[in-house]
Amino acid sequence: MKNKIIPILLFIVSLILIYLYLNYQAESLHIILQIRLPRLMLAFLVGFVLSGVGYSFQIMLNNPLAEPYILGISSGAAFGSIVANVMGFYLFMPLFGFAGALITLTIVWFLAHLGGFFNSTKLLLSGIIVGMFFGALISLLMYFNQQDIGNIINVLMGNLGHIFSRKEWYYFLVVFGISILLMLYLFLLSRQLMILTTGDVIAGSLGIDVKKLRRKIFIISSLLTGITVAYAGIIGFIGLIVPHIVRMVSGGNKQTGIIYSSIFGAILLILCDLIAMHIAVIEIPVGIITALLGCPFFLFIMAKSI
Amino acid sequence: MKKIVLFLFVAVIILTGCSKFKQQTGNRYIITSPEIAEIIYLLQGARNIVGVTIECDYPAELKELEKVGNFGKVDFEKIISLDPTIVFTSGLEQELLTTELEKLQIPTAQFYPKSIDDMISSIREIGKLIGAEKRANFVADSLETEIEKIATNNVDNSHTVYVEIYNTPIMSVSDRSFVGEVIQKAGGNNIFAELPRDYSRVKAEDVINANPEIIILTCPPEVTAESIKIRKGWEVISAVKNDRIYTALDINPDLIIRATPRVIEGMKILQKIFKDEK
Repeated sequence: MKNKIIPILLFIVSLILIYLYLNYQAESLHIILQIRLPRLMLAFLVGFVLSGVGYSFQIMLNNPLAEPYILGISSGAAFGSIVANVMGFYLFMPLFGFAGALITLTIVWFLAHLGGFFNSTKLLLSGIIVGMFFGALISLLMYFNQQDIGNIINVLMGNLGHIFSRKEWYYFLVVFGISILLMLYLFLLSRQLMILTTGDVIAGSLGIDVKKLRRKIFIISSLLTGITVAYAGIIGFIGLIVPHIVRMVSGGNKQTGIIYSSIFGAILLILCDLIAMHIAVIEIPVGIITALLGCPFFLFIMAKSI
Repeated sequence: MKKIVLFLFVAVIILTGCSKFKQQTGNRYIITSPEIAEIIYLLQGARNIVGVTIECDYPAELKELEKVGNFGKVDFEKIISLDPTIVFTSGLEQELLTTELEKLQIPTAQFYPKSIDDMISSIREIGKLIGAEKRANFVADSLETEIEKIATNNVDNSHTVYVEIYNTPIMSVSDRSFVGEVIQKAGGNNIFAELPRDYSRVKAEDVINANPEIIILTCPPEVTAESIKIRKGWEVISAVKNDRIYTALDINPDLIIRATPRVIEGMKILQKIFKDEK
């Protein structure tokens, strides 16, 4: 592993430089600082969060199909930002998206605890159902507001080209900082999370408050996912495939897996966004690129690891 | 009981028979496109129009008419019940609508003018179809002279213009689109003249790079000039610095988006903007 660090670092640095400087024109330093750097930061945050959260969800729910969107957070957040758009509150789209995520989070959490005890099947099922419900609401809005279809597609297919207002940018910097801190906290929890894979009883006997741990991870992860959807829409596949790829390469669940997953997810999303921006004359929604590239790449890694 | 059933049966037959007699003779038009509705109204008023879609809002008299749906989705039962002699349709989502109406053997006439010339020839054709040929030719001829006048009145296409037709994601128009042609003929120099599609998503950095002197928003009035000015990185654009952003409040978007004779009015306003007249 150690002898690979230098090439990997070189790759990351050159990727970032290409991202910022591709098609560089004279006097476009302004564009690099004002448009591309914010976009790079957004791409980094979204990839970092979705892949890390995906990894922790797959372990916590003990389900290889789990991903950040599985608890309906994405549909709730998407619904929120679409409502903001339909009502004409263009500047408040991230705020509404975040509110949508919070509402979904509360509903799903409440449903998962019906009957007084938590179980992960109930959590998954209520997440999926609530997600479907918000999905139907989105379709309804789409049907009755055809003039807003462009934006709705934008949210549903993922878009890292969010145009920030200057004020909003400062909020984003704060959000960015908080998100990174929350992710670091999630990394700290990963040791306990690993013990959870041995089963609730053993974990409990090792002194872990299983209930409290689950609640913490659930709330942090959902908030983080809500933030990404609020700014970038729904970007599929990253949160599902990156954790699997990391696991296949590193051989099973590891405590450090979540960190690798986050970093790899960030790199992959930046790469996908670079392609989305430049491959065609018109920018392509990045969610399409992540799926188009992600699926074959995933199958290749899977075939190789068998 | 049997008598009652028999009575009802006869009553139903008589009633359905009556509804046949209720049908009016003469032309009965249903129009699903707001552009065509404006043109037909201009040529012969609303007297033969029996149904429109909710987007057909100009002139105001059209709003009073029976609604058969919206631009993207119509109620076929309603259309059949109105027994139209012709249904006028447009392009885009209405391509499918036109084929479906043809399947139902309802006579259709499709007009989707994509340029000013297209619009003028559509007016002539519509005139022929509805028996208002003379008036249509008169309207078309005067449109041609008006556009000629506007073109000769142009100094040069020196001012660079960015047209934003949608704001999330930001979308603009190429010179091949109707709006693009209007901008160009009115004397503006579209920064996205060469887009791969008529209407297309664009990148914020390309707008900043092109540094347009004038920004025209054809979005709804909620999209204010202020919302453009506060965009991160856009403060260096000439139009933002010099406060030359024109919204729906300055120029009614319908005057430049819709391929109707009202476009002359829109072009005159644009020309004033491009010639720096107040």
